[in-house]
Amino acid sequence: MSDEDDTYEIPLQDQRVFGAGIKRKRVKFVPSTSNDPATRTPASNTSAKSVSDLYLKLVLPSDPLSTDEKAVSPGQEPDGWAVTLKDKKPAIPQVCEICNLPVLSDNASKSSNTDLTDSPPLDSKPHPHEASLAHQVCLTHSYPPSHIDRNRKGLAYLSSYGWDPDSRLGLGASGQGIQFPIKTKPKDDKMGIGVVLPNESERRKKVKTEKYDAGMVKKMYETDKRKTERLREMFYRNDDVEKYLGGG
Amino acid sequence: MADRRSEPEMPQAKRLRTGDMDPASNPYLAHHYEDEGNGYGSRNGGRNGGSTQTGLSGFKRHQTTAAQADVAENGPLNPFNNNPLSPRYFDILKTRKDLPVHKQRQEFLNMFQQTQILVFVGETGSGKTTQIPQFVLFDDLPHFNGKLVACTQPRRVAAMSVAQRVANEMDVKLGEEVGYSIRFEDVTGPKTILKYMTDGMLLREAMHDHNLTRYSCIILDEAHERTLATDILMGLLKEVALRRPDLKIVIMSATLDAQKFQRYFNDAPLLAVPGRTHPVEIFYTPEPERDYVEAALRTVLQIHANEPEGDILLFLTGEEEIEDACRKITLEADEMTREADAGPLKVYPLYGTLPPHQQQKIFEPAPPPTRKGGPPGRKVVVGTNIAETSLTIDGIVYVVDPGFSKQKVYNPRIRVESLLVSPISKASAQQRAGRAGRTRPGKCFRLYTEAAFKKELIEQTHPEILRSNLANTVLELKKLGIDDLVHFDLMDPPAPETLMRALEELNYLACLDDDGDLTALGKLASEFPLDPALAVMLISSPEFYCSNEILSLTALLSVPQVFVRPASAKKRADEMKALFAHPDGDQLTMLNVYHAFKGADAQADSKKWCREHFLSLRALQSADNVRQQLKRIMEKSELDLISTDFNDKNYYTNIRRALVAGFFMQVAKKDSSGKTYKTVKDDQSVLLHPSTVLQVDSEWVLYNEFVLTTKNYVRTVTSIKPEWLLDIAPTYYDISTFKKGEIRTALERVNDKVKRKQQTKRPGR
Repeated sequence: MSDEDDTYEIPLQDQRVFGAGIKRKRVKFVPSTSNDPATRTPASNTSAKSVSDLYLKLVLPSDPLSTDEKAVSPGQEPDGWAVTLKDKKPAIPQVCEICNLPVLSDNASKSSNTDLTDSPPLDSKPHPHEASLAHQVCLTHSYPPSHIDRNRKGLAYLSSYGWDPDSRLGLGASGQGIQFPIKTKPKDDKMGIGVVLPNESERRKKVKTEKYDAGMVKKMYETDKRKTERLREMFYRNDDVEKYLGGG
Repeated sequence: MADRRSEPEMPQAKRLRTGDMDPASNPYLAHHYEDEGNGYGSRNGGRNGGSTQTGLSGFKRHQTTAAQADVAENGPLNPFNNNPLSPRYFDILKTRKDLPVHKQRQEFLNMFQQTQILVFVGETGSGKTTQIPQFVLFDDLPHFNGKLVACTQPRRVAAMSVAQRVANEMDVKLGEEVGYSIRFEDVTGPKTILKYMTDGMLLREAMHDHNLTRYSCIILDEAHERTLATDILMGLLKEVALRRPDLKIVIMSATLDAQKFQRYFNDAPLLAVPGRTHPVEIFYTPEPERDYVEAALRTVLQIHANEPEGDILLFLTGEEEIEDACRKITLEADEMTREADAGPLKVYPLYGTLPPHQQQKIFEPAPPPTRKGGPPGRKVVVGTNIAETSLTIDGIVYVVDPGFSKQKVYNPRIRVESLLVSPISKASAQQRAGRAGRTRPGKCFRLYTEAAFKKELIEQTHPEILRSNLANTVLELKKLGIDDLVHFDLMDPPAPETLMRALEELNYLACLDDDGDLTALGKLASEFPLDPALAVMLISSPEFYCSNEILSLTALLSVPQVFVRPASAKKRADEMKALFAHPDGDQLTMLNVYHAFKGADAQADSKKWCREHFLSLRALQSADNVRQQLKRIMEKSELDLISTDFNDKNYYTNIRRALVAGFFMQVAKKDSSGKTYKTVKDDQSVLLHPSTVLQVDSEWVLYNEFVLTTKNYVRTVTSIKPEWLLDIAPTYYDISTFKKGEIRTALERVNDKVKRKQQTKRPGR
């Protein structure tokens, strides 16, 4: 396995989300649980810290304990990476500033998984807390620009008083207003609240089952009959054969 | 009296003046002193040194007490005009003292005196609308400063009826100390100190008097209804309060979400008066109902058959549905009375467009049992959501709530404002249920499941400002001097797109220039209490030599439908309408009706004439009234009132052209299919409403109203010529801004034709 393959085969949830990287202050990594050099952090991520990590791994090779420890607390990396693995154990679970979740939990489960699956190179790749779904959702994303036609005179007026169509804010003293007009749909029937009509596809299915005419029913009945007969025949024949064999 | 106003701080002088008609020395009034004097008289005597019993002497502005006011209210002379009080006054006074708000009068005064803005919560029936303004009068004493107290109401009818009621309570003539002001009607005088008015009227006054200097206290009643005008007023008053520290503001709401008002007004103090409510048991259906109207009718009859005495209130969505339901319930109930010995059932409709005297009928008591000892009679009121908060009908014990109401909605993308039947909110449902507990413990039958209540209903009804076309509002705000529409502090700011649409509409109507500043036309248009399109049409009508006719037409378009088409006589009604029909459209037909109505034949016995011709006398009369009011504004604005000679072949053409000047944004062109129309720029497929008289196959029509249903209709249409559009509204009909399509091609062809004509004309000159 080459490094190039690695970057292309990162599972989707492990990849950096587009636009999310800007806000990330620092890329954190969890030491690998495997000794395969090919699974080390990708070249693009090399930093002083990952180098020290690599060094630590070389110094403490294939320590049976170390994998366990990492399985328990791989994400509890305090700010200084130059601490020994033993020091990591009592560290307080770090809480992520952005999503308010302990950095530990996600990674712990991931690494224990890798242990179970006999550490295939891809899964054992460090899985930063930042890549977790919970964290990504909490990040401030950049959004696609508003659909409003920029040439509208009404927009020019609002812009001149400081309203930005792409700000995803409404009007009002603190931009607290609704962003989009209220949607409604006309109601012409007398249907009460909460009546659920079967949707189009379901209705069509029903129509299909109702379409059988007498001839088709007869045909179906006959094929059914033939099938059962054949089945019965098979049963009886087998029985007979067994009897015959048993008798012989 | 006049002197008294100018010298507010001279009780001595006052005492002298009132002294020469001291009622204590009047032998005919002596009995008042014996009757009332024992409790209050002595206290009053103690405070005032016994020199006088009348009026508001000894009252210091914003330092009065409830006890003081009580004394003054007990007469014997009217504290506000020094006339002797009538026996009826004392009768009413007794019932007034029983109202829940009265117990908290002192508490109210304490808070009122200490703060500039006060939020007051009291359920309908607590007496807040009639009593609080009077409490304020006794403490604010507006006449000492030559000012007024204003109390706003969302509905015209409420402003009128409450003013009448309070005038009776204060024993004054309506229009003198107590008056009202609604659109096109002002019943106030120089003596007026308490003015009930629609919220829209106060907003209009603010346009000319940004600081509302005429008023010393402003009470916004029914603020929970969150009408467009109330919302704007709240935003405005928040600013005015800073500029005028002497102005007192009371926000009154009937529902308990008043914390929102409190927060909005910078944590203003809140005073709540408990309503007189009893527990209401709520029932849901186990399954959703396929037909809520039918289910509602069945429920009403079921209640009548099985439940003990008590009146029923059924909420439905609109006039037609209500009238239909009333008919069906009456028929069924008659059968029940005949066959199953049920009690008599009387059914009353209730909706906004119902004439007031018919609205009053809902207060009639339930019918007595048909025979002595027989099953009790019952009253059923079938109403719209008017009955939800603003009207209190005593005796209601059962409420049937199908969960729908008709609500105005506005879609800025296709620029259509319409009334749609929509599910109500949770808050609304609770309010409806509360109606059952007014007199004794009641029951509320909801025609939906509990799960649907929890899941499908929104928490609060969207305030009107989020559901309206804001063109008129923006014009008003600009006139109010509010330019920063982005940061104007509204409780619920509208969607940016809605505001943008409004600004653009005003720009096309030339009410705003390209910088968004009010133009001369815009300023003039804001003088008229009309939609901007109507106002612009009216203002530009002298250019088309038909301002008299357009004035009539504007009035007709501002009142409810003039044509009556009862279900029982549809054919006859249509025949009568055909008598007035003008082949070029409905607006011209309406004008014909009005001219006929003003003719000698009709005026001889207008009631009979209207009945015979299936026309609404009330609508025509109010159109007449509106016309006069508008005429006054036109004269004041120096707009000429002119007409084209009726025999001129251009008489109707001029009117149609003038219509285009206001309604060029509401035009549809026939599709190539020849069946449907497409609206210009918005590309909505529409049909002409079946009620139209338009017979000619007109390519282009101008419409007054877009009716949004699954089939879209345009109602009240007139055929027009595309040349007029290019001529009268060249900026809107700038062909280069149009999308490629039928309409653009058609306009291009017209443009070419016009150009060719001009070219062939020119060499001839």
